Amino acid sequence: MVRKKKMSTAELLIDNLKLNIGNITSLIESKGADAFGDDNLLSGEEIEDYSLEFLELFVGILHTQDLVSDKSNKESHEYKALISFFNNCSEEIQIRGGTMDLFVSYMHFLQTSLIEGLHDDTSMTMSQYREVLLMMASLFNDMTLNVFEIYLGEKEFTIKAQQEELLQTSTPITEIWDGVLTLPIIGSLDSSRTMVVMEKLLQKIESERSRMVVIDVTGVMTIDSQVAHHLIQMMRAVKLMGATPIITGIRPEIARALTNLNIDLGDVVTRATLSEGLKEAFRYLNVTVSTKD
Amino acid sequence: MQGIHLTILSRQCVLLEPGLSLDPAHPEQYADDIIAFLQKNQSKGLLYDLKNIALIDQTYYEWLKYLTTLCKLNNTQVIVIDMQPSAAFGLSCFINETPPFKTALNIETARQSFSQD
Repeated sequence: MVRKKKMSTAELLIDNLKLNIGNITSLIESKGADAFGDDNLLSGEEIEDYSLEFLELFVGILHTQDLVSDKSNKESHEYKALISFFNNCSEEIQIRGGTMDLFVSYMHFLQTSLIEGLHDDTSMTMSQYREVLLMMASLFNDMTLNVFEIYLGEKEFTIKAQQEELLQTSTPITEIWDGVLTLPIIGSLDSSRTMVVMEKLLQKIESERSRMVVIDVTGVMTIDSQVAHHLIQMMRAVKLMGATPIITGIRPEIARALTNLNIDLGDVVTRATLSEGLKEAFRYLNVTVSTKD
Repeated sequence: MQGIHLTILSRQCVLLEPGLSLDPAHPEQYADDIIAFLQKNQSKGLLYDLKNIALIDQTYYEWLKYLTTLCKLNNTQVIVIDMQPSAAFGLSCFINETPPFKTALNIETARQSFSQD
């Protein structure tokens, strides 16, 4: 008597997928079209390609899966390929304006479709069903987590880049005349911003050999002891470089706050407006600006 | 003079360039030689060149203050020149006073400021 070799759960699952491939594919495609087709996030052809590629990679991963111990070989090429597939797919959807929620619900749908495909399979025992369900839950959880990690990393990177860009554009240091730099400060000065502004300012003084620095604080609406301290620190550093700082545009409320905080700007040249500050800088440099008669 | 190089720039102006072997923790060892040099040349100004000093710590700052006080007794003005951005940044973070020495961008501006005084 020839005894038929007992098939493993993974092999049974692969067989089941092969038998129902038509139904599963059309189900996945129709859901994909509902999710991504309405907003033109993916074309019909792309949805079809992605669905087939997913099934192909999924079958590939079943070959490396030990369902009994529920240990997936995360170092295998098949596993990495499936992760890469989901990452690329989610990236593509997001670039085209899709949301992460949409993509994750689509991933859940893929999982549900595969499970539903097993419904009519009578060759599996209860314990084999359990193995399959556990394996799918574990695999799809891993994939979802991975996609989210990539998504959050991208978001963090974007936020950092935007913050850096904002810092760069919020400190425009301009050489308005030979040896005269102007720095308008808008908003508040916290420690990290002071560091960036000071670093840029000192480097500019060195590279341009600037003798005068006009710092305009018209755009500073409020001041506390920490901001005042940063401002004084900046003045001191400018002086140490051998340049002369001039502060302009101190608002009445800022002047009042500085007095209340007992902050002495005695050894710093101050002027009411930026133009007054520039005139003072020109006077220091013996530059005369006059109108032509 | 080990650790210090002195150059006469003009009749009344001397340039001091610190060397790598300068020990700011023991300023006394340089005092006699510097004062003797300044007196010999009747110098009214000492330009201290910091272009090779990337960072100024408390010890180095104390040395600069010591030198300024010493020179003042000899009626010589100290002007620190060519301070690096990193040094200015670091120094401004830990001092809470106006330094006793004057500062200038370079030799030219220091000499201008010296002649104006």
